[in-house]
Amino acid sequence: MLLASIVVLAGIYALLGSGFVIIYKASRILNFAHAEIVMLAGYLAVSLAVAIPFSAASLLAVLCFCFVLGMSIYAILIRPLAGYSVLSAIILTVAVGVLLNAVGVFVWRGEMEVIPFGWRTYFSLPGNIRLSSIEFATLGIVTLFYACMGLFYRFTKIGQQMRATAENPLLAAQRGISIYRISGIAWGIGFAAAGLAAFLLGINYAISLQIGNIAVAAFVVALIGGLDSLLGTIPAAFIIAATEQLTITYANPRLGDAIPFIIMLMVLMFKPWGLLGTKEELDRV
Amino acid sequence: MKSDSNKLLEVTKLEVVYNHVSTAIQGVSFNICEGQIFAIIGGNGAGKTTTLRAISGFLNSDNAVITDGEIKIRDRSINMLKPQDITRQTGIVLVPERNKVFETLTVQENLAVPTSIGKRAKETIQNIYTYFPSLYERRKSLAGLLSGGERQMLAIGQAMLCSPELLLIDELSLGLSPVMVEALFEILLKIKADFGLSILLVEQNAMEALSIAEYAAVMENGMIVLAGTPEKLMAHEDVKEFYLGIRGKEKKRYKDVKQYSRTRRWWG
Ligand SMILES: Nc1ncnc2c1ncn2[C@@H]1O[C@H](COP(=O)(O)OP(=O)(O)OP(=O)(O)O)[C@@H](O)[C@H]1O
Ligand SMILES: [Mg+2]
Repeated sequence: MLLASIVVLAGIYALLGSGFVIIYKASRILNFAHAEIVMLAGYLAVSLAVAIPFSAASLLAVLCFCFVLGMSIYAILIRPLAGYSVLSAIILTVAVGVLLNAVGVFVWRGEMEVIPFGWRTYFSLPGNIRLSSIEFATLGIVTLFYACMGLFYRFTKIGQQMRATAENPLLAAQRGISIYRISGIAWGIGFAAAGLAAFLLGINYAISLQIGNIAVAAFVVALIGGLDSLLGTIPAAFIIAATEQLTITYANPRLGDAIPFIIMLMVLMFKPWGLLGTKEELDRV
Repeated sequence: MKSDSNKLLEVTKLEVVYNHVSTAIQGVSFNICEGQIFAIIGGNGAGKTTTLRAISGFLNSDNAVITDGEIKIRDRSINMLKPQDITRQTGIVLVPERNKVFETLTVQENLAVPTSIGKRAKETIQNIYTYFPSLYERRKSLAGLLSGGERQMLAIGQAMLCSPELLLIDELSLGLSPVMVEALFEILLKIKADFGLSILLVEQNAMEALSIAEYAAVMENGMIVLAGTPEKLMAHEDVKEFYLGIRGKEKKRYKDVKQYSRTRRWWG
């Protein structure tokens, strides 16, 4: 049971971190509205799940909404700041977060909601591990997401251009890449990843105003894994999920919330650029 | 020099200032004709890179601005264009001095990045490989792992895929062995002939640059101090002395050269 819950939590943490990393990689902007996007997407998923009985369809709708929201926020708010201090863009994301939080409270009144997920059975795996259908779906979705992102970065034109832009935006612009369009798409994907994470949180646990506390794990996972490393989110998420669950089970449950931050401090003390991050990223932070 | 009718690039009285205070280049004027190889030679800090970056729209990221003068390609002023528009709309393509390839992408991906998708793009990439066979052999490795020479080839290949009319190359010879420099210049000449390009070369290696250029300028302290055909420049006493290392009868030691007051004959 413990192993299953660690793996599931790690998957969700990884996904939370990945949205943050995808956006940072492409635009060097720390998106501090990430936790609020997760909350908003979660509530939206709850409402849609009631309206549309089909989970897959409501999930798809949430992802599309998040993608468009990400692109719009980038195009309307962030892009005009290009050429100015990155700091102003980052502070802007804080403001966006506050705003989205207000929208969430206003529309959904901050109630605690669960996203209904029709299909519930249990699978027994060798080694006495039991996975519920929800956990099973969660792991499948996370794996699928990472596989898709890997293929996207590696094999699609936009993915390649995104990596090129991330490494050297000036050269990318000179080589005819529309760097703002590419960054906009990255913001869309990052927000969609947040939406996906919200959906998984909603079917596994619940959506509430406090979900922001879990979503803060996104920052921690991203920092530990390396801000510019999508792959780094996976080990980072496992480390955090495992220590957190083990502490809650065998030590004091009240320590659980502090664990991610303690690990973050320890990792950053020895590897300030994160587990798999690029070393030279440091002076840009 | 050819007549004015096929003038491709026209730079007039260009002035660039870094950080609002330090003037890097001043009153720089020159013309490049179609199909010409134009070389700018000059020592460290002369303002060669700054000139190229101004032409290719690369300046603003470095807190530098064009404070005076005009850059025109085919009679169209391009002072205000953004880098991505300059590549797309004018055919001016820069091979920069540093960070000239995407190091985290493979050779193949580097070449694919500027092109569109499809069969034609594949063919044009394949065509680039015919000029640089050694790149083809390393097409799957990361550009960050290439040697300096291979990197330079990749950068030129990538630039060629942006369909340039005027290729700007900043220090082709930087950090390369003489053999490699010679080979690269040879390939460049071939590319130029095949594609009907014009090339603006910026070089410290004056000997190599003057040997392939059709017209050249000497830059010092942000100004063009001498211009003319390579033959004329190579015959010039000061060019011989300072850039080609050919000295008169009394051989000077390095110490003496440093203390030698550089009376520039061309400044009168
Ligand atoms: N980013 C920058 N900020 C401030 N000043 C700069 C910057 N880049 C160049 N300069 C200054 O502008 C002047 C011209 O530099 P530039 O790089 O154009 O010379 P260069 O001829 O290319 O030299 P090198 O042969 O060493 O590459 C120098 O005095 C240099 O200090
Ligand atoms: Mg230079």
